[in-house]
Amino acid sequence: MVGDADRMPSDVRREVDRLSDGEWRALTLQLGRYALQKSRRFYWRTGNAGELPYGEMTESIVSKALLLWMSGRRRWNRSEYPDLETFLKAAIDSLLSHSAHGFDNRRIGAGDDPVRVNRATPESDLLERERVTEHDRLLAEIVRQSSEDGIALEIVEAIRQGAGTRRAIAAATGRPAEVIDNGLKRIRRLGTTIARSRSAAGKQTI
Amino acid sequence: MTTNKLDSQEVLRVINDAGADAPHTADESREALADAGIDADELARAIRDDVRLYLRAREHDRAPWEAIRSLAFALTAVSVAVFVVWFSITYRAEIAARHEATRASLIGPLLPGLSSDDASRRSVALAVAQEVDPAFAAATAERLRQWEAVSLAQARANRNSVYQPRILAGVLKLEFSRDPDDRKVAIWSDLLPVLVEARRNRDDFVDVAIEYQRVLPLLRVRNPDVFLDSYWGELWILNILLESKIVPVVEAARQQAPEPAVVERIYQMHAPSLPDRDRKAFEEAVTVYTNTVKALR
Repeated sequence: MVGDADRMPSDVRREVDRLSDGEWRALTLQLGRYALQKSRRFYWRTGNAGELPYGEMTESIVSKALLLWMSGRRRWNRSEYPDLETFLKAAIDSLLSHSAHGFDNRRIGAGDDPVRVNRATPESDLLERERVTEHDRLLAEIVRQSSEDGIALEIVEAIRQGAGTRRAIAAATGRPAEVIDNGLKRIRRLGTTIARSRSAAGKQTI
Repeated sequence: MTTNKLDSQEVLRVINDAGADAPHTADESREALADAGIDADELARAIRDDVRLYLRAREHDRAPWEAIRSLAFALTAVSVAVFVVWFSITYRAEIAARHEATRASLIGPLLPGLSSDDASRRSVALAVAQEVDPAFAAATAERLRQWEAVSLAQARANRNSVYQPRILAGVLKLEFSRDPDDRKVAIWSDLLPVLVEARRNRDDFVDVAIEYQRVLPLLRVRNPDVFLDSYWGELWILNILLESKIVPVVEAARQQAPEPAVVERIYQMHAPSLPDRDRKAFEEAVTVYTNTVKALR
């Protein structure tokens, strides 16, 4: 799978040797959480713990990202990514994007891509309508349950107005980044809980 | 709330992705993983093992000439195995016919059974041969076992063309070679990398793990005749199979798995003479193995 040319480059070796056990644990923890959240969205397509679209496991997607770096097949450009974690998250995004474009996941948007629907059929159209309706319901429920959370409502509205990143949301709302981050995390948790309860009630979105 | 259905989908996507991008504390990340049924410590360990095994395997990657040598060795070994079975049966039959007519008359009829494709026929023929000539039966049984190993490997090679050639190369080296370097190559370059790579796809892994039931008896984890630095590679293989959650594989692995104290003793005996890096790698393998065996209880 990897030949001699893919042996660990010296700069990577130095970085690996520099990582303490604690830093290594912290890094894998963050990358594992990131891979899971980036892949799951609210769809809950896959039922097994840690299983990502296209049969990947959280563990394997993180391992692959690390190995891409360690084998030298993906170079860490420090001017583009200030720290290793950010760089590896980008590698995970890339792997998830590749995975999401597989046949099994062609309906899941990858990264910033719009939702893809290939080779539409009457059946796929019906499923698409059902899925979009479910998104409406989910978002409406998030807003309803956030009625006491002014920050969350501001964030949702900013996104609806076109703010697509944390920075853009912070600019649109005039709130500090930390407030936006915490608000986003609250909304995300709430969305996950609602999606899960709907799924348990037999209303799985996909 | 919304009348534009596509907007809802996009809003949810941004919430999810921007939420994932937001910095999380260790506790938050741990909680997010736990919420999805993932143990953060287990995840960290599994990732670390994946990476370590992969890198370890790469460090022992073969030079091109070694690959050629291995291939030549594999072909030679297959030829030798076929020849030995044929030679053993015919030669002993001839000797028996010449010197012990009575025995020959008894063994002769067993030969079709011994060379049969039907395992039950071979077993019956071997049982009878045991009564007639124990030495001949023992030698034949050994040859047949080797022949079966080769046949099985070849049969399965047609099913998984990605991994089988490497599995076969590893098994043949462990089975036939007494060269310590061949054993190291078999573990670090053939068998362990295949198992690690196959773990990335559950279907492949199940297929490969079942195949590795044939590898298990060839491992020398319990009582290595000579200690080699492939020892903890063998320990990793055993460990992965113990953790495979594939019932027959786990059972077979358990039968081969020594008590952690045995492995610990081997570690204590040999670790001091190892370079730092190898000693650490060995130590980690022992720790993981000990935890795995305890968990299985």
